[in-house]
Amino acid sequence: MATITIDEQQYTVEEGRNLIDAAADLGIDIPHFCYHPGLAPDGNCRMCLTEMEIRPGQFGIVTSCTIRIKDGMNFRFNSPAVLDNRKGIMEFLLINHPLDCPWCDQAGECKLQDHSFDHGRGHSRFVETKRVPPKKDLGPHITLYTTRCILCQRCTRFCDEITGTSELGVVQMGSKSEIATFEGVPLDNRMSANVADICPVGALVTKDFLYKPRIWHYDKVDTLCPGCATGCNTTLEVLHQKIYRTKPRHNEAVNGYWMCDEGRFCYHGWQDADRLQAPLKRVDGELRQVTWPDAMDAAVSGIQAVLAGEGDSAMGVVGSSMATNEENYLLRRLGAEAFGSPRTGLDRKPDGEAWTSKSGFHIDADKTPNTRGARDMLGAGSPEDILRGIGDGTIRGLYVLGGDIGRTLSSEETDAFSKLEFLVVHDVHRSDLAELADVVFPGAIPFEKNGTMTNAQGRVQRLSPAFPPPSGAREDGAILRYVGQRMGVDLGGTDPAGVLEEIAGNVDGYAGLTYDLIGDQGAMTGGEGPSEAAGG
Amino acid sequence: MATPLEFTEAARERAAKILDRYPAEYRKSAVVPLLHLAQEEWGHVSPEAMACVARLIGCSPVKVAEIATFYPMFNREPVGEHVLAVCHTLPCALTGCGSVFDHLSEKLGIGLGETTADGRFTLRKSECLAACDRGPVLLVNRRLHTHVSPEKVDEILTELEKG
Repeated sequence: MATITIDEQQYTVEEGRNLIDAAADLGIDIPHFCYHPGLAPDGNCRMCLTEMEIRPGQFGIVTSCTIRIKDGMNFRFNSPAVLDNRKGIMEFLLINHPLDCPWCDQAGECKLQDHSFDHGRGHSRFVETKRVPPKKDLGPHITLYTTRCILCQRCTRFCDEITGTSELGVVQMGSKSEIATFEGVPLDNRMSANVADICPVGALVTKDFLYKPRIWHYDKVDTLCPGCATGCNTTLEVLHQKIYRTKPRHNEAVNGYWMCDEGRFCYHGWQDADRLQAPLKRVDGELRQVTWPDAMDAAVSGIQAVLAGEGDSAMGVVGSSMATNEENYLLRRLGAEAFGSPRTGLDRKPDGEAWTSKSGFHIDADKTPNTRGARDMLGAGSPEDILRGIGDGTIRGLYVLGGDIGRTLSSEETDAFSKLEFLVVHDVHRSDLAELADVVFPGAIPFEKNGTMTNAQGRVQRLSPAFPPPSGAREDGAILRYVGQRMGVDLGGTDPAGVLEEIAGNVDGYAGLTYDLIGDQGAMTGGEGPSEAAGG
Repeated sequence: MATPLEFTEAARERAAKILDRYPAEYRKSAVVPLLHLAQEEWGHVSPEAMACVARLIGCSPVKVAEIATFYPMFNREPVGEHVLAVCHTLPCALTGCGSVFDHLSEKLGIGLGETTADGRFTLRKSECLAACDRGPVLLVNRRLHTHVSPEKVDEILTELEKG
């Protein structure tokens, strides 16, 4: 720790931290544009200039973002020189800025707007003609509104330091300087849309979030990305039961400040899926919409018929790596208590392509978010084991938690599942699997789920629902409880925090985990508590 | 983008010598001399030439474009055999660069940034050439002429025509 002086007041702060972050810890905001905590300081925007005592009694102007705290440092944040400088920098930055806030998508979360309000002049002295360079299509996800850019170079540094792809640069000189890509080399990497998040103004925007409702209208929901086993922490922006934008939420141990484009935009696939609006039951070989009680009757009598047949337990249960820990745990209990020690499997689509950025941000090959958690909950055997069981006739009925819109069945799986006497499936749309079922319960997509998931590192993290499932669908935990109830098994209350408490008592590695401990940054399984693993 | 451009054998040898001057981790420092080499080789630095330099250095081509577009003495379009650049910053303006430029423009029959139809001359304006005490100044290719007047322009042009 170090003792420093700011405007004649003494504070104790962490030694070696940069001045902007140290001041932020104290609740003091030093205005800045080019500095971003996820990137190396650059000192180019000059907005963070403050005064520091460089010789006894003599103060000099320094860039706060490049100052590392040492004991005894003495700063002035509000001297006339500092305030004048800020005002001057704001005026420079606004020389060519179009001030088109009324139709700019950044309005409301724009640093230029905020700092202009706090430190600007309120009126312009500039009488010359503003430069109006055209907007540029930089790549598949990003457009550059060249006029709005203040050349802080967060985006070019992101592509240099984080992705290592270096597609962006500053071309031309002086007032003609512009962010640009090279002819034939667009901004097209697996994390490209992060540049729109870190752009402090409305220059870089995603094509996905263009001309959308104003940012202050959204409800913000902290949850997880369902796109892969990394489990990036995200914030959804939701309006009228619709997701408009996903942004990464900082978690140093998982995703840093970033997320990949695939994960960021995956909400479209889920949101646009043709959702099941009511349970389905097979009648005369065809799936028909039925009421919940009707579907329950059919499911329970079908399961009971299988259980009444030969063998110890002819029912199998298959969990889902798209489902939460709590749902998979309830499935295990339902199996153990109502189906009599069934064979257990885990449903998961084939792996995609893994990728690690220059900075260490990792996109997992496993394209489902909770394989590790589902395995922990179910102690699951392999999918092949379930297929073998069906093949040799020891499994005649199956209860499957589906719910992955990206999941298609191989011909081998289709053949096997067709042989079943009775198949119950939870799903969100008419998937390959649902088409083979005798009863389909309409469940929830990850953005409607409340509970926890365990990422590939073993970090247990919380999901929060952006909105409830469609009126005819139910949360999967509630469906499992309903089935249990009908078969004479009480699976307990409906609160995921309560189920987690039960998991903590019964599942290896989850001892001591509670919603409070997990918080918004997650907690490691195996009782290690919050870990210090490297982030992106 | 057009087909990739490659240096000739002789230029490649020179490029290797240039790169040798810098430690391996600072290869990027060779960008300016390599761009000069490219300009000597092809007369101007096209995007294909920038990409060629980027391949030699082993960096992203936009990082070469940053440098090549920053310095106005790198020609980004084809130019004539002789490039004439009239300084138009304040001291030269005060000593009469306007009449020098107008005279050149009239003599050659071309405007700012244009090249004569025969491909002999390109006319430009330039920022300060660091000879303010001897203005107006005119840069002809890589040679600086000072105290230039319309009469002196005629002499220079005659010299170049002969040349």
